[in-house]
Amino acid sequence: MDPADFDTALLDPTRLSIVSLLVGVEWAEFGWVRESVGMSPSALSKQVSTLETRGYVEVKKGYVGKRPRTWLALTPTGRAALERHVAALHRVVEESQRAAERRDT
Amino acid sequence: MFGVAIFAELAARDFFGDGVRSGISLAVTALIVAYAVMLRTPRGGALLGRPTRVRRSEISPRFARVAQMTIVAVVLLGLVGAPFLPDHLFPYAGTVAGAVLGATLILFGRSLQRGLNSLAMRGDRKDGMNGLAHGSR
Repeated sequence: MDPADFDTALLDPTRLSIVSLLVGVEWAEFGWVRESVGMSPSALSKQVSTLETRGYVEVKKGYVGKRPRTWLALTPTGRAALERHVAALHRVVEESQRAAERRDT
Repeated sequence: MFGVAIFAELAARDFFGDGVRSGISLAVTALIVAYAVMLRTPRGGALLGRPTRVRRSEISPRFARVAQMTIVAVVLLGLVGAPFLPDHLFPYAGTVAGAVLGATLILFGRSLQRGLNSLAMRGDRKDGMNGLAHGSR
């Protein structure tokens, strides 16, 4: 298993949760993501900034009436990174299972 | 909103005669189109109380097929069956039907929607991302 297969940004469980939430939607409100991952706004904001810096998440700000809103969306880069990361995790599991089977036989 | 619209559409004929029916139908159609357009944008979605928009690829193809066939079947039944229905089954039949359908949508609309969402998300993804997406509400 090549450690390079894993995405260092997605090794953090909260960042992985955020990206996993966003993979199923075209966009999501910041508040909805915050509720879903159970984080404080500032903690989520920090993690989103990290993902935004790496080009994994796109952040859009706007107003609905007079209320400010923030929407998050996964970029194609973020989606590709998640797919690679998940594939690497799958390979770890498969290799472990094969090793266990070899030991048993 | 759709509960009230359905009630208005079905009850209009009982109170205002056949003349208003086409106007009400047009208004309901415009409402449905506006709703569908608003759902496509983050701001419109926020106005409608929708914090997310589910990615099309996350919707199970089987569910989409069944939903499309159901809609076509309902429209065909309406077109083919309407001429055979008696004008008035009983007094205020449209109002009663509108009240029942409208109340059902108002009272159970959210839970019906949640149920449909969870059915729609049970896809058989083949790209290794199975179970990752749970972003519908």
